Amino acid sequence: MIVGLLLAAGGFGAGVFGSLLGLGGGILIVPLLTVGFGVSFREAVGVSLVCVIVTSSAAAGVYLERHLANLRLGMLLEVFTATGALVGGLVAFALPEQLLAGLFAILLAYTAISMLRRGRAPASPPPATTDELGAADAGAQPPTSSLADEIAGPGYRPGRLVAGAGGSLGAGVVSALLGVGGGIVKVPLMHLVMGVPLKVATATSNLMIGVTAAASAIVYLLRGGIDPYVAGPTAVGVFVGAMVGSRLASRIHVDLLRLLFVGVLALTAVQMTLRALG
Amino acid sequence: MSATTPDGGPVVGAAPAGVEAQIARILALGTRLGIALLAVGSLLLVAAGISPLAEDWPPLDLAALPADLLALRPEGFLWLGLLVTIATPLLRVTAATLGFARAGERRMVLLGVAVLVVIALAVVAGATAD
Repeated sequence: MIVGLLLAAGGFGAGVFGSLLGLGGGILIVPLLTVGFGVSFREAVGVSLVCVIVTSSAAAGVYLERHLANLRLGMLLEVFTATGALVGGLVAFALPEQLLAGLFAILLAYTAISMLRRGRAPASPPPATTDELGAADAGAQPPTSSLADEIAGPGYRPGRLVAGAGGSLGAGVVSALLGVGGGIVKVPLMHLVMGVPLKVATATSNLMIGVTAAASAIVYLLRGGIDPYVAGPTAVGVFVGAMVGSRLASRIHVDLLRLLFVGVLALTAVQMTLRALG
Repeated sequence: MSATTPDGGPVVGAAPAGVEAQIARILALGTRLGIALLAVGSLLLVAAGISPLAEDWPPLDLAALPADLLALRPEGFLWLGLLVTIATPLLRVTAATLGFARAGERRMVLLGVAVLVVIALAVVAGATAD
């Protein structure tokens, strides 16, 4: 009984932190379940995928109604993220858990460094407007492709579609292997490689996460990799936590929280490395 | 006809009119229904004194689901909640594909169908892989 409540409380904490720091739940839930509750890595990934779907579905509708997410671009890249997730979901059952834990430790370290850099940036330049990004992108683009036109948004036209497809395939594999949304790959890919404005890239990535995670969650579910007793309380906690976090976001000094969180990520990365080393 | 901005102008690259709003409703309803079922299942789990980590979980058995729900067994609500949660993004893709089909946008329909084919392959692969 107590364990069920603790799982819900842990999920709640992951939802609040994830929402405040703009992270998907997976980067928090997998360590919570493996290090905190002793769940096997593969089962933790299965539960995490469910939680990732919950947070993505809850936020994606809002992004669409506000016209921030690009549904057409999302549907194009989803073909590749879902394919990657299917492959990753199958490969995950063939790889040793120690190797997966090692890969997760690398992801944690990368996320911690990214957050630290973001926090240390003294005065970030003003965000480019969609018009500016569109103009810069247009200058670097090959001749117009009708598909690129079809998935274009206000003031921008996504370029380098082949690179985008390849990167999306990789993001899907990472999502399925490690139980994360893959936003850490997809957002830079769309923004820096394809020339999509950052806000649109973030919202579109969120939209795609649900389908990507669903593709691998189906494999985990049908192969007995999702424990409903653990997934239920954790997912409910994450959902409530994400709602609370979104309401707290404007009242909390996020920079301090980010530094604290970097420390937690670094410690967790060490624990995951130890687990990987047996 | 596509969506419009708050000042009445067309949104470049927007989905056909009504599709985004319909998808938003599907996502909101699916998420809430899935979470409500998982919450009920979790409460029944606690009420039954089952420790999630101490016991083997019951396998997914679709045929037993109605009986589990009627008997208020936690696994019935938990499995149904998980199925609804996982199906919600797939319903979103289906709704978008149908919306683009109504608007006669064949390329977008093909993309939507391609995603659904990958999902179908995931079902087959998950059910048959050793």
